Amino acid sequence: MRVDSERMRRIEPDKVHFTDIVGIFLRGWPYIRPMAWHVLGFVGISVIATAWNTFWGITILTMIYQNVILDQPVAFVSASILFLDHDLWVHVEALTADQRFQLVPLIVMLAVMFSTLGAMIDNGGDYYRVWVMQNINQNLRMHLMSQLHHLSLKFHADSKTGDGIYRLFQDSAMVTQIIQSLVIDPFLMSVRFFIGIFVVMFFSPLLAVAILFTWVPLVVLANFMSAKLRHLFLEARMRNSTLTSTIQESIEGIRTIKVNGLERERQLIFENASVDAFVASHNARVRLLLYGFIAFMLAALPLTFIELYAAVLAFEQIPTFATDLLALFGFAVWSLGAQDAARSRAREGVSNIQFLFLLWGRAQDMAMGLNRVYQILDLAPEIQNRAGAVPLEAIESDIRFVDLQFAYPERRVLENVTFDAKLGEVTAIMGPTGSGKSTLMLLLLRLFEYQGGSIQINDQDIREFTFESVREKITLATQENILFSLSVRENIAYARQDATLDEIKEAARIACADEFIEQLSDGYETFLGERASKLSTGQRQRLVIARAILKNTPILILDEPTASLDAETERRIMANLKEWAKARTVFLVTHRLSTIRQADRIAFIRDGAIADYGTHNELIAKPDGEYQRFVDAELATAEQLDETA
Amino acid sequence: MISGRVAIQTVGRALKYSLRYDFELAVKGMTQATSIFWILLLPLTGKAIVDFIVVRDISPPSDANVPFFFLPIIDYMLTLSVYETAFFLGALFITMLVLVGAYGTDGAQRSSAVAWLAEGEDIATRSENAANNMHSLVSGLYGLFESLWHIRVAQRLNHTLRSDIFHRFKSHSITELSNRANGDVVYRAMYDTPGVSNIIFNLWVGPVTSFVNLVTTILVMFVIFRNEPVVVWGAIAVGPLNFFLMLYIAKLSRKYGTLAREAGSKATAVIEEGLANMMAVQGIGSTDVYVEKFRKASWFSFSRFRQVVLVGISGNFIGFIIGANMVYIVFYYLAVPFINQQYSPGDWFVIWGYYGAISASAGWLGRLWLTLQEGIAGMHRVFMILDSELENVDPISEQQDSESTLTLSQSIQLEDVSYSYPGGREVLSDINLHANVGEMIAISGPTGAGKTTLAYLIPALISPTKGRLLVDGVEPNQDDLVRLREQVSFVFQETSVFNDTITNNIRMGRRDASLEDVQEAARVAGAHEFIEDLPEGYETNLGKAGAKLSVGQKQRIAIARALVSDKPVLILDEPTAALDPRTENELVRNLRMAREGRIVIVIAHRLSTIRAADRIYVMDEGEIVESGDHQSLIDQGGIYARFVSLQTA
Repeated sequence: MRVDSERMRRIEPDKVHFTDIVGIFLRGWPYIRPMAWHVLGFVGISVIATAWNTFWGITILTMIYQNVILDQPVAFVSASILFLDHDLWVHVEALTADQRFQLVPLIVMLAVMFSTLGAMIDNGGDYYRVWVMQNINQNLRMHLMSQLHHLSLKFHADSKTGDGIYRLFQDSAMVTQIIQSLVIDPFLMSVRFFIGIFVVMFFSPLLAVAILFTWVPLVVLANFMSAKLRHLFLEARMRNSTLTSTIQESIEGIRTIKVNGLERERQLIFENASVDAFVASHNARVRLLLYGFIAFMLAALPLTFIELYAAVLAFEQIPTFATDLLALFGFAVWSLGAQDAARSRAREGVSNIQFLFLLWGRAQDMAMGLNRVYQILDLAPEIQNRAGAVPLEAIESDIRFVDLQFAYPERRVLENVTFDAKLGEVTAIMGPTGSGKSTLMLLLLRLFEYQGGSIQINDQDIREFTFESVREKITLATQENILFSLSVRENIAYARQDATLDEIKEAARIACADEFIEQLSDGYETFLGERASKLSTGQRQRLVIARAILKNTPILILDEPTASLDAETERRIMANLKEWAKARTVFLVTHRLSTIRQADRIAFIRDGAIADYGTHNELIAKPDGEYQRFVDAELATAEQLDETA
Repeated sequence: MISGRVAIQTVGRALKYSLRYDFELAVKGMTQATSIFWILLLPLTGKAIVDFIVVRDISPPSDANVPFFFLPIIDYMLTLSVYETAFFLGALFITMLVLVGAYGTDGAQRSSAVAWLAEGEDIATRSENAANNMHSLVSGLYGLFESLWHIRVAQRLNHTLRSDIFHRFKSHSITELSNRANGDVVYRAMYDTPGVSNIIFNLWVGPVTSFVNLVTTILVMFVIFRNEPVVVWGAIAVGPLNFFLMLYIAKLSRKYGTLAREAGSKATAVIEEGLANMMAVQGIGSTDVYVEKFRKASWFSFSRFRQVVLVGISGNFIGFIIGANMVYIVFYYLAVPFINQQYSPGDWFVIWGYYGAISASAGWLGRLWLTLQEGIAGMHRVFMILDSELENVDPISEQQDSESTLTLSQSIQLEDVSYSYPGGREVLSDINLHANVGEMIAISGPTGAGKTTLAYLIPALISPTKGRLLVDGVEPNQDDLVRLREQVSFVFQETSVFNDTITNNIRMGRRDASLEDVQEAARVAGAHEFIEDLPEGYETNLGKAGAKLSVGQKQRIAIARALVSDKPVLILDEPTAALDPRTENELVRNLRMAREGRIVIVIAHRLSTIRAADRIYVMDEGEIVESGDHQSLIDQGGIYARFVSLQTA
């Protein structure tokens, strides 16, 4: 049954190109779209906050350097903000010591006001951003979860629960990064890069050109290292996912581990998985570190040149390139302030292009994470509605199985199954272990797709109906008694949350569960806890039956409903069920003779076909029939044992 | 809720944990502390650019304000022209670049070696960065080394803790374990354990560095700017202000951190429950109900995380207000000597560079308690498990060094045994049962009578709350319990198979079993036939929880696993419930043969299985009400007789 995993598109980190990466991120749009206005909202807020903080930062720092530490006249803009007389503060040679003293408290006042407001906008915007991102992540999680539920059981047979947890948590979280890391940050970084170039250009076109080309070696570097990074990131994700599965599987099978004394062995398996996960993470991160280190070097070398060059220009007091314009800011010639302004802009510009490439390195990891989510989303559910499929309305006929054929990739299961399950009757499906009884029922539920023949309801192949509507008409109580960590009442009402307590009690009565439920400490409100370990297997089985009955669908399938029940309880449940089954179709998949003989009709499956079909009395009268032999075997057990003993 | 005292204890325990890696952590602490030297050097290079090139003001006052180790460089630069100085500084910067990844004119212009990966807006996705933490204050060759060292230590710490908690989980008693969601175990092992990185690096490395940083910077400051104590005191004040103003925030952080982790754990449990039981969920048509349940759990955990964010933001805001206002105050006082020209303009950078270093360290120390809270919330959840009561035996640590020589050769006996669940409900009372080697014993009775619980007593999966378990007539002591469990094979009613090949699943019973042994056991268990029918035969991988097999087939694999282990006691809980009569007959016959030289105990409802036993114990409501062989019980005409007549009617 490895069909689905083979169908699962392999992620090949080596063959992903720039456009693929962009494509991976663009696919995140449907999850972002519902939050688009909010995204714009917080982007707006952060733009305002950035602009605000940059503005006051530059204004105040310039005043401190130029007007307090040095004695330069106050710049036009700053003077206007502080309502200073331009004749005394702006249009002068230099400020007096007195004026500089006066400026100090003014600057402090201004700074307190500006910075408090800025911090408030900043932090508020941050909280808003978290909320928006969580919404986006939730959208993707929900899509992934419902996809997981729409994939066939074949898929789940081969996939691990821990892997599902990993994809839902870790991999899907990367969608929150798309906006920030791939739209906003690159945009802001590019803007700052060009602003840097733009500003420096006024000081010195040569320096501007030097900054402009800093990205060239970075592109070469990224091109050289991206594929390897993707490889390592994917590996790290897979190893961590395996570790999650290892934990989950060990805990699920803990009892078996304990009684077989396998603790030490499972511990080793776990520790190996843990080490593997750490080694993979280590390799990926170290590679990213190296990438960041080289990128930093490539950006820092030109900056070193720019700094020193600007310093020398300031020493020579050479006029700046756009002397007249910069004179407004007090930078007509290269000076300490000019050198500082030019070098900070240059640094800002180059750092931003460097950050952009760092981001690209990290983006490889995000892409691999998102790809693991899309990998699941891309699987076409095996069960799909045919074109023109209509909903199944009321069931007015028997359920007919006609020449039904089904094979797992490994082996054929059903070759030629033909029989009718009559409306209003209990049909027992029996046969040797592994003969395909449960599979037959899964085909009816359309959890698997049959390959030949048909199952007909209302004289139509069930594939002509939408599978959702077919499933709605059927309830399956599985052989494994699965209960959820909820109360007794919530467990019975799991599939019908609107059920009243009376309905719940009635279902429990039919399943003979009411008596033991009443004896529990809190009755129907008793919390069952994980695995419902307070109950015996037989009690759990009855709750599962009650849950199925409460669902109240026209078709009910009970898979080995009585395996863990004592004879007395079994008899009573069967009697109740037969009463309840009027106007419904009930299937019993079972081995127990005592259960089978209470069914209205019996279908005996052997070697993929119906070997015997009829009522108990009909079949028992049939000499040498399969059923006859089965009954003999059951009754003969003791005698055979006596012989061998 | 975690009280302040417990929080401190948690920190203490985390620290104790870290002592296993004292050398590694010491090296990390040293490298980080010495990296401060480089950072201290940076403002001086900035001063050199300003004073020696831009302003070219190389008068004596400025070189007096230089620490001794920089003096030779200053002296050398005094001999150079402006252009030579530029080249010299260029060479110096490039050297610094390679060594520590720093360049240019002040401390801000450096890179630090971190490899932080993108994460989402909840705790689970943030744990991976924490577990694989790597960090250095500087970059370059120095920073690379430090980061590599750091990730090594972080991973080892996390690995040790993960392994311990996983071990601990496995050593819980069966009753304790069944109350715990699988998802919760996953969450604690994967996402709570990285809390240890947070605590240990913040406590081991952080304070050391900050303290060294603080002391050296303050000393340097007092040497150079002894006339401006306000700078030093202002910067130091940032520490206590942060600490006291954030005590309350720290408490909130602890509270909401714990709540967020609980919510995340719950969401994990919901995923686990749904994915592991896919067929049950789909079978009763409750996909929508389940998906809705997941939606709520997922969103709830997001909401809880948002509360953590809100607490963090409040902390940030307060921290910012403290930091910013202190800068303004210092500026207010410092402007005076600068206007009075007591210092050169280049000193402005130096003084603020040092101010930044001091206040950053002081602020960091002041916020330390707050920073620790996130780790405390996670670690507390981890320690809760490590402290939880263990079952009576600890197979991993005791298996090898056990002195016990217990071997079962004659019998097992339960003498007046009662058992109550930890909650207090008595499920077994006054049980008397004995089983001799060579016997097949059946335990029967209505559902909920306590049959399985009774069977758990024999391999000491639970211990009697009253009465005694005797092995060969002797009560085993504590050391013997591991050995006792090794003597017993137990096949559960709801069997587990693992995601591995059939051969390996069967071999779990005995690792050194040959392929022949495996096949023989499979034959006896009635599994050989269907296994051979699979295209890959014994090498077929069973998939998640054996999803590819029917329940009856899984059961037979489990029986084969028990048979291959060849232990003196074989306990089977409802081994035949899912088997067809033919297979059942064969199995029962094989079991009867298998009783030679061992004890076989079968829990069953099916008459055809029970009647084959040498002795049958009939249970009802936690007591043994009848016992004897098939015929004698029929003759008694009690519960058993009625039960037989029901099945054969």
